Amino acid sequence: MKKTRVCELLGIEYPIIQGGMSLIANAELAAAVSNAGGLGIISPNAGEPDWGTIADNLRSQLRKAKDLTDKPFAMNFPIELIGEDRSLIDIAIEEGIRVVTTGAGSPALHTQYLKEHGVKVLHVVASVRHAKGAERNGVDAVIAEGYESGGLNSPNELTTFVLVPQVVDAVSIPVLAAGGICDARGFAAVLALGAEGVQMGTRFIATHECIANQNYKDAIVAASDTSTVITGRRLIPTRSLKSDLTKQIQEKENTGASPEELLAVLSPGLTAAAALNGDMIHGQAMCGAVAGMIDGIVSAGDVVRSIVEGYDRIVAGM
Amino acid sequence: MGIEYPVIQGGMTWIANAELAAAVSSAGGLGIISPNAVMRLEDDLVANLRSQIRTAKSLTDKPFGVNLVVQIPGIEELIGVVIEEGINVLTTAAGNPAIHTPRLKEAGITVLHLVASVRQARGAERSGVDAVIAEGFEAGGHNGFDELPTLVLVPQVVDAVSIPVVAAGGIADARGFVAALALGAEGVQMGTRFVATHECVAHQSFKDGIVAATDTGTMVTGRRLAPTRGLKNEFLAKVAELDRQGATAEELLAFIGFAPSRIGQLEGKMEEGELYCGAIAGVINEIVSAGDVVRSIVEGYSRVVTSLSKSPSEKVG
Repeated sequence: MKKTRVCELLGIEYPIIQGGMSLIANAELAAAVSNAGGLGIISPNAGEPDWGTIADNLRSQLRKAKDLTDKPFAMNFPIELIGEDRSLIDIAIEEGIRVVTTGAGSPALHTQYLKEHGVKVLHVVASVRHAKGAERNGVDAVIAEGYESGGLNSPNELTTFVLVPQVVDAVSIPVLAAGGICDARGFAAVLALGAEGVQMGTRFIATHECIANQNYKDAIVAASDTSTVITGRRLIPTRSLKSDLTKQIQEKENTGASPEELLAVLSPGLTAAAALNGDMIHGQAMCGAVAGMIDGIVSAGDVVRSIVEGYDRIVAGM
Repeated sequence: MGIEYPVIQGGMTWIANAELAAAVSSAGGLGIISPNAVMRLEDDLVANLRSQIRTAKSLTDKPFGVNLVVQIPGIEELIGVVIEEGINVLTTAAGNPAIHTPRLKEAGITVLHLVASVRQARGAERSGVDAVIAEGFEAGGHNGFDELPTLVLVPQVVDAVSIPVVAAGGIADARGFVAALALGAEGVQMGTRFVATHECVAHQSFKDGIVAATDTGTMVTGRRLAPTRGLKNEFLAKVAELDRQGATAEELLAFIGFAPSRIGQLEGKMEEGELYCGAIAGVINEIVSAGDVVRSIVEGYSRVVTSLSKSPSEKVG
């Protein structure tokens, strides 16, 4: 397995990062990924849809992960959600977090503060312009996330295959690829495109350690190549599993509904309903386009190991 | 197919001309002619195809192919010309491969069918095609409704069929070539990269537009009717506005009219025309010869593969 600058930067053995998925990137999952030599990431709201108790939830998640692994793990902070408030960041620093992934907002807001406290910052970008901006703001690496990825997506719709090489050409810091990767083939492909690591979300949902509802994991395993869809192009483009809900949203979009009419369908609890409660009919199950390739629920450590083993085989075969 | 390198030039409508196809084939790849290459609307499609094929034959001894959109009227006559002229390879698209594949196979022609989902790939294999071209959402021009990008489409098609899979959409250099091979493809087809070459008949303004494009230079419009990727311009902005307003298929067709892609690509009408262009345009930074495109991929291949086993990493270009 090739060592990249990402391994050195983060003090990990393999440049494989687990995405900090909202609600379901829990301590047990992150610890399992880190124990296998990758980098696990915790979401502040893991298992807890009530944002009011977020600080306590974050602290308890971090402590649980520390009990489960001696390896480094990280936190994900969507900047749009935390805004200028640094209280969650301060908790993470107090608890010894040394790597943070940020996204959905300006890297100018917290990067310097994090760096002053010895925290490495990986920022999610979806275009060359964003990548250059993140590098100027001093982040340590960018995660170039393509249109394939599950959950909130960029209106630019740049796929991983075209985004990664262009970001690699535009910045000199390491680039990780995200979106559309779940196995050794995808890992080798993005390394060929110039990435020095990968972040995977959907693949790690369908693992024993992830806190996601069993119905959600089963739906990912059952998915085929055409099972996900982008909705909300005029609000925030979002990729999720096709369902009655996404059909309803699409019908409104196709008839030229206003953003207000669309928002009326999108109540705030839809993601939690699917992810935590397993309501796959009325909820919105965030899911990457790669779901069709995920055929079983395995342990998170096995996900990492299968990529490491598969990579050398693929490279040797070329 | 009897070629040296598994690098195929897409049969782009209006602009996949004999000189381009011959240059790609002479360099060891597979050039492909579009029946309507260079022609005017009033010209005869069948005669145009015959003349393009004969021009290409005069320019190269290597095999080259023809791209046929099998849904179009008069397809039987076009197939007749292909057989008479002794063409050995066809790429087919946009239609049921079961209808014509048996006749083509009987004539000894190798058939590569374009697919954009696992279901289509399985159907094509059942119809007896020799290989499928798995074309992702990144591709320029007409696109599948399912919007599957190359990175997820290719491995799933590879898992689903046992015939060879060629990757298309989003590939313009050795990095993309190696990436597609890592996903299990056994070759690539490139369109946009070959438009920006000396030999392509596309208008100079169109080629310059591709070279000038950045990562966000293309967009998909017509998602409900016929999803199509092109360079952003006034024409696409109007189509996108109609999409947003929920225009019907009839309204969209009435606006799009006939062959805006011809005046865009052949005449260089950069705002009124339609400029089919892949999402990879941002990495294309100069107009080169088609042979150099093939050679740079062949030469870059070993460099990229070597970098995959080297630690610590070095950037590859």
